[in-house]
Amino acid sequence: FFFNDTATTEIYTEQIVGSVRCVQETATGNYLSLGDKAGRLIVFEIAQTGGGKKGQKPTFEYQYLTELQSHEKGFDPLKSCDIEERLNDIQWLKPQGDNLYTLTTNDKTIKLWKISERKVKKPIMSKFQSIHSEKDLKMPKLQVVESGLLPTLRKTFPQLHQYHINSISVASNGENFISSDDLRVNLWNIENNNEAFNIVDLKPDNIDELQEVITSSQFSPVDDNIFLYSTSKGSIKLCDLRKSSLCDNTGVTFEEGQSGPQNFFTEIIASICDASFSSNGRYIFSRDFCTVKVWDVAMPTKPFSVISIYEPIKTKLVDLYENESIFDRFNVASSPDSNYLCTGLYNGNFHVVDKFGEVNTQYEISFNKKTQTRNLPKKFFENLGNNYDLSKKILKLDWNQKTNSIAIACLNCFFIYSPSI
Amino acid sequence: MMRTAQNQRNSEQRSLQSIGQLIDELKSDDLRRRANSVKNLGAIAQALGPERTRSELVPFIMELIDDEDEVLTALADSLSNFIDYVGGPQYSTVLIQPLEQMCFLEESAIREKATNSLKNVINTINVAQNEEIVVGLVKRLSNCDYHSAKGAAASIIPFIYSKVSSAAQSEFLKIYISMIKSDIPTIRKNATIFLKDLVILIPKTPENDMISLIKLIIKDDQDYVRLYIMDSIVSLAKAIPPAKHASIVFPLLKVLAEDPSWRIRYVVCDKINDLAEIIGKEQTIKVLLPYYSKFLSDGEAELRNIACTRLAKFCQYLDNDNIIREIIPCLKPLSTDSQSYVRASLASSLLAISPQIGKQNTNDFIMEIFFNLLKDENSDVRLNIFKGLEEFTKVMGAEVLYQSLVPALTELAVDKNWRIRLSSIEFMTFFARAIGQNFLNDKLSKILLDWLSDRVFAVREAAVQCVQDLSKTLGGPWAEKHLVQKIYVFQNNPNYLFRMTTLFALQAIAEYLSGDFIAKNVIPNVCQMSKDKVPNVRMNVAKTLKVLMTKTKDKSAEELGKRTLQLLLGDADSDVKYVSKTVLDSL
Repeated sequence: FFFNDTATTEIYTEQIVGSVRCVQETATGNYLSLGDKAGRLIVFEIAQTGGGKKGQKPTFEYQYLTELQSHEKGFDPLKSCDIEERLNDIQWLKPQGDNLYTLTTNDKTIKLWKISERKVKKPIMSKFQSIHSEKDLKMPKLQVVESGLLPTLRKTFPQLHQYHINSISVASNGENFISSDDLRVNLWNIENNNEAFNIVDLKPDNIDELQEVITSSQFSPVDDNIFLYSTSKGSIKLCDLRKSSLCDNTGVTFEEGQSGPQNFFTEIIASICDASFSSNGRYIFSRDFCTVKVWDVAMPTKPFSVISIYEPIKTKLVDLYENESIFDRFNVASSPDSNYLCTGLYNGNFHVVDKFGEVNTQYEISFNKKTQTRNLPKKFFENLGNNYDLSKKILKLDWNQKTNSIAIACLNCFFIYSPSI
Repeated sequence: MMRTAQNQRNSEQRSLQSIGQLIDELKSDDLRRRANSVKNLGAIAQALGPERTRSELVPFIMELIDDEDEVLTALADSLSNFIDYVGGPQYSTVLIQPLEQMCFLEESAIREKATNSLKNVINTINVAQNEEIVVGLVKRLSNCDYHSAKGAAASIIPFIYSKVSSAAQSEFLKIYISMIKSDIPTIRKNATIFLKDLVILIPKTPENDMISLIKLIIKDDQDYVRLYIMDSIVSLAKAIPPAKHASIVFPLLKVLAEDPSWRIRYVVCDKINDLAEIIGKEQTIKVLLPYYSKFLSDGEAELRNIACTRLAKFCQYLDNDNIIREIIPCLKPLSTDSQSYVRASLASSLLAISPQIGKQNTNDFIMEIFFNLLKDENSDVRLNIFKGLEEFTKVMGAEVLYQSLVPALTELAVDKNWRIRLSSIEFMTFFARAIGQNFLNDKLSKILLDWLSDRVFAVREAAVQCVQDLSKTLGGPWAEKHLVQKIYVFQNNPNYLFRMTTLFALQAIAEYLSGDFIAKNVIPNVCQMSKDKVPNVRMNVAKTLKVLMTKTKDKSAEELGKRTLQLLLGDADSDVKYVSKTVLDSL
């Protein structure tokens, strides 16, 4: 069937400060969280407002729920530099009862937050009375001072990363999560904030020989022993925790050799921005600067399909290199049925592509007018005019597994697109 | 009379006042105050009396359950022994309520404490007569939505299983089985952790049920559920007669020992000695030895490591023949293993098997590996070798070792890591004991002097202790002849710290030296140092003199000592003056 998004957009501008850094939906599809540059986490609740009757498509509304200041600006005394408070990644954990749990991380520290209905009670101050006998001992009377949905910091996972953390990912068993920085991947247990296990270590003995860094990592959504990590050299490694304790060498490598003409940019644009599993865990979608490669987990030799997102972008490589946008990290997200993926680009564009690369729909988000969509055929080229806005980049997005809608973050706004059939 | 009564009332009032303060601080803004109040909950309860504790304090405690971990841990601890404060076992339900709430918390450390406290409370109840209380508790915990609470139920069921009626027992079994069969891995995991406590109760728990539960878990697809089943297998082996081991236990063990996931194999190796103890020597050789040899040469370093740590004890269950044929060939490649922590574990266990296999075999097979490890580049490896030397020497004899160990010790003694240098000092005494009087030759005395002048104080301190041990072991006369002269070397060292080392060392060995020697040799030297320009040194001269002068009765030495101390009384530094005065007063 043909998947066509109409723009049911809702724009939230008031609450968001600074650019939105990460977007994440819960597995149950009930909540959406955004992390921004100022270290704040903003949570929206997704409520079903209409439909549900037979034949009617359910509609959903996103309601602002709560927000919390997750990280503060820090200082690293050893290196004499600031630690930014901006959030690099968020992960939801499975809710327990009515309580929501989420992990947030900035460059160095990971935190576990709990959002729950709470009543904070404080004792009513009474006059001091001297106590002559046991009868005068009285329990303090309590009154409710604050109540409602309150966040509490449950755990702080200490700075065990020497380099900047780029992603965190929770295992499907909800007990472990991995965090990756440029050279290492660590395995944590949610309960234990004192130690973690190092499972991948790419640091060479001689730091001058450094060839590749880790760009992202993710646990398989299905199998809690399997995780992948992607590198700047364009390869993805799929590792099994059961095979060995240190997964440097026992992973399966997914890599396509360099073919075709090489130029100055080839190596840079081969770096993988983001790699993630499809929702059913059978495919890996990997996004590098110009293309998305779809790999079948069972076949590491060659990708299932290579989809060029938007060929014309290659003409702008020089400009992008100048303003360093060529190192931007674009997210890729999988549809709930694992047949489609979406990823962003510049000029307020994002693309929804099917995994065969046959259908490529480009959407252009605009703040003032309706979103324009058009389908791009496989071999497509156009000249990019001057109003191709390189600053309007869509880096982060997420696909809601329950409501089948996509949340897109662009500059300091975010948009929700719901499917219509 | 009046005064005593008044005093008593005053102190009562004061303690009541402090109880009142504790009560107020139960909800203080300061976390430490809250934790302190909770730690003293017993005192509060005692002041209030049982009835008020039941009606006022315990309901108030329910408000504390939404608090920080530190407070909650203290709370679980306090409630553990609260049964008397609420008026005795008949009021146990009052305590069960808050503890039950604490079992729903997400922090596992606190849940564990709460569960243990619950078990304490249950211990005070006559379970046979009050069965509904415990059965109700278990049912509420296991019916709850929270996974954590089910874990608490899994912990409590084996604990009270033997005490309840058979109707309740089959209820409990049903609950436990449903937890093991649950869809949610966390619940299965929690149930598996405590399964061993149910299995050990066989035949009170039905054997076939237990075995089928174990078989279910072994096939579980989640690693971290299977991780805990080894304990149950060990319990099973203990609970059923040995005749049944071959048909029931060993096939289950085989599945685990050959599991493709390294963590499962790791747990098997971890518990291998427990199992060996139960199944006996013959079966160990037949069944466990093949698995163990494979673990020693497993591809995964963690597994080789755990196998090495279990080496010494495991070999006790084997014949010498088996050790030589099966174990020793695996050890040689381990001594050159790529991972240093594996080699370090090997080094700790290796020498412990030599008493078992005897001198000839040790000579033929172990010595080579031993030398390899002694030359290892990693200091921890070499250190671990030294730790096992005691047993080894008994078997091989001291002379053999002396030749090979001295160079190794020399290297360790100058290692750049001061903790390694510190650990190597204990071996000096060991040498002394093993080799005897001819011990302190040039090389070793140089090492000793280096330690006495080490940059790190901890090393110097240990060296002084070593000097003392040497004197004790080898005797005063030896110390007088060989040791003291060497200590004097530092007397005129430009660095005051080392001059002080001289004094500390002399203090330490004073009790082993003869009074004569002290009078003629030591005291004059020490008195000379009283003119040192650093006050710290002068102060220690006074302290040293104190120790020395109690050991000698020589008049002229006493005179000299006293005169020196008198001089120091007029010293410019106040500390020196004070110490000298104290010393003079005590003499």
